[in-house]
Amino acid sequence: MDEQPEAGHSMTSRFSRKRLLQVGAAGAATATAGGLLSDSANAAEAAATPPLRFLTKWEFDYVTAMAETIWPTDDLGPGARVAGVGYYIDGQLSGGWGQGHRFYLNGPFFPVADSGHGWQVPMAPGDVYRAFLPAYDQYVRQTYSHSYVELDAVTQTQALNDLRTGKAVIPLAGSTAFTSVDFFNMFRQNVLEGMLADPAYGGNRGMVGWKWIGFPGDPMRRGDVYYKYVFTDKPYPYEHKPLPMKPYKGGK
Amino acid sequence: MALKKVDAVIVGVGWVGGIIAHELTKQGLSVVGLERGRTAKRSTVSFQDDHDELRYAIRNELFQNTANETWSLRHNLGETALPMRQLGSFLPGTGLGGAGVHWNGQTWRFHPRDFTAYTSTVERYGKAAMPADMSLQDWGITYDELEPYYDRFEYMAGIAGKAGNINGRLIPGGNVFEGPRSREFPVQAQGATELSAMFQKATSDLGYHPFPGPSANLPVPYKNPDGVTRGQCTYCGFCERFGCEVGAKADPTVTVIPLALKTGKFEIRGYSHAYAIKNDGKTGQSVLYFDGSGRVQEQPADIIILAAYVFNNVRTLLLSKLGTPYDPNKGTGSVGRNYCYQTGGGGASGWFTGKRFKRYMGSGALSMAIDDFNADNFDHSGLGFIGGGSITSGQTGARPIQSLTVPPGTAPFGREWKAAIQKYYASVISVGFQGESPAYKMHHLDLDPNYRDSFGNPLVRITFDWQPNERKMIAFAGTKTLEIMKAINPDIISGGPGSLPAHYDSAVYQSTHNTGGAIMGADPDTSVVNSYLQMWDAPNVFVVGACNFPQNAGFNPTGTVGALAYRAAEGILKFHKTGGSLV
Repeated sequence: MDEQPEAGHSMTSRFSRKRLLQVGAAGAATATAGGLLSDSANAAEAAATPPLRFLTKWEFDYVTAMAETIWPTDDLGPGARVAGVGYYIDGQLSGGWGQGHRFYLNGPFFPVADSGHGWQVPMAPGDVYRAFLPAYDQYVRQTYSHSYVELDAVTQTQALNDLRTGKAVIPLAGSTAFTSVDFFNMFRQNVLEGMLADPAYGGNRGMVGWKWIGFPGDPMRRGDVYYKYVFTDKPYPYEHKPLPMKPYKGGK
Repeated sequence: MALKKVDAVIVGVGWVGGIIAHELTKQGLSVVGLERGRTAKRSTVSFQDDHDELRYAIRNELFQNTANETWSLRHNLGETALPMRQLGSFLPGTGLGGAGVHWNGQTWRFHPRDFTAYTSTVERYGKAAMPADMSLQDWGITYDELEPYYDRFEYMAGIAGKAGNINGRLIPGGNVFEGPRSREFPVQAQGATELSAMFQKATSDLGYHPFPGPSANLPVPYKNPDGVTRGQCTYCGFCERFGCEVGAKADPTVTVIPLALKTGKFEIRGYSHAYAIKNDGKTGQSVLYFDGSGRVQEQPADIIILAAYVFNNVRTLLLSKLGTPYDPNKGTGSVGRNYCYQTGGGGASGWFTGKRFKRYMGSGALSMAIDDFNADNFDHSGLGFIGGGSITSGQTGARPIQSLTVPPGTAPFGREWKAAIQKYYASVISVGFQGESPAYKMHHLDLDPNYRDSFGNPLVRITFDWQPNERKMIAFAGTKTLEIMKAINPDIISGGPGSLPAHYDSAVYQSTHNTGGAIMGADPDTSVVNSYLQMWDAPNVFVVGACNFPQNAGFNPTGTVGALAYRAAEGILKFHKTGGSLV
């Protein structure tokens, strides 16, 4: 019913059409086919490697390397780097969540007496990433003699496990209310989001995360109602042919 | 200067506010609804863009924004409470329809014994069976008295299910432990999926009594007694935390609210944060609220109805200095008393190698259940705890960010984990337990001394933790879910005696089934409202919702909340005619 090309394709072709219209309106007879192609290519490149909005290049490379340790790109299939998880995290940290728009960050900040109180630092997630990564880098260099991005995969796994288990004690801007375990849990969650959220958020490129586990994406896109399948043992034919949410092209 | 007086003002326009508004406006009363969130209706069409797990389920679009208002938590009376700085343990809704928009649709009736939990426990096991600090109370209303209101809610909402007890006649295939129904469910029960069929067979083989979970998600189209027709569920798998794009999920914005608006007697004001009732200690005169520009407005009314979420109803009473605040040290007062929650845990999981189930398909209430270990449906002698819970295997839609699963012993990340999530995402079956939350003397709600909301009013402070009774209950539940999982016989099993964390964790999602704080009862000294949800201290003020539960049962609360809303509406109309106390 609503079988459309994937978002990336339709965006590229729409851009070309728009460009053609602009060129036509200006009556620029000198525009060559080559020029048009390069504009399309530029648009495709910008979609694949957008500029950073929050992370520094150093932070981006660091985050990407750590995300690859969580969900590696290997002979089994694509991982975090291919899926654009770094771009996903960059987008999240630059937006409402990373900037703490739904966080209650009013004082006072009392010492945490027991477990079960969650986030208790006067910082939004963006601040936490920014404060935590250099401190972690220092730990990794001291412990493993190199920066995380330079380590081999086995040592990277060890370094990340130091966070997960709390072996790496990393005071966040002097605070002990946010532990390395807390950072690991938040980061791992962000990586899962970047692999499995709709591609609209910059990760899960080519829907590689969905294809990996066999999640068919937005059920509304096919107009294919699940009630025909859910009470049967009939396999669903589109488990590995997911569709993202429908792009909106604007009203009239 | 006060606004023009109306017959009734309702704080919060969700299920309770919507039902009461509909009942009152039908009888010609003028009603104003104060809704703290948006009132622009999210139509079914606009929810066609809602299959976005990140936006709704992870970034919490439909829920209360904790930057503006949150809650603080302490685990005991001696601790300094800390604010919940982001959503976690529970997800109260905001905006038109409230949590009625994003709920799963699991619509239960509590057991007859739940309404007499104190008396029934003493009669069967003696007073000594309850820990000294436990403070169970009877509801001041019986199941039989509430039955007609359950019936009304279920027929309005179009609940799908199979009765297990009609007027005392037990019906196999339904829940034979439930209280007597006056008639069958309005809508046929949902079918069984591959997963729920396995649960059904295993529990039946074990001698238990499986039945399809009651659901507000229509398996077939339905026209309700008000003339509202809704279509059938597509089983898209985006239910809990999402709105329904086809209107198959019963929701106040597709049922009672449009009908109330159609009367021309109902005005809804959005972005209106009610915070207090102006009163003289005997009568509520008006509701004070911050309007969209942050200015205080005063809405006078003959009748005032608090229909917001548990915490906001209690906070409004405390800020209004209406009723007597509960004092946990002296045991006096009632506002804030008997705050309870829902005791989860003790589940079991099983993985089939080489099998895939369509777990991403489902609806919020698509499940098979047994009730053999709920309430007092089994003999507790020698078990060392009271209470129980429902055991279900549901298929609510395995949205990928929240639904990756691997067997125990799998590496937590990396290549091995990556291979495992591929292998097991669609091959898992789970059996869960949803337990009672009994009341305790120290558990309560009051105003936090340190933290305030964005308007400058104190936050609600929660005093709550897991107690030994619930730890034993969960340990017991884990042995039962494991027994069932073994009968299902998957290739890998994880389960065993269940356990609860060292302390109640406010940061991890568990359940949006908070209860109590403005409880109902027969005694004005130990309850805030009578059996019509009318305040003992101010007869023109009605406080309605899960805040009325003296303790929480082993079921989802909405069915009972809906029944109480219809009961309250009847009481309000009676009060409108006669005045005075209704009991």
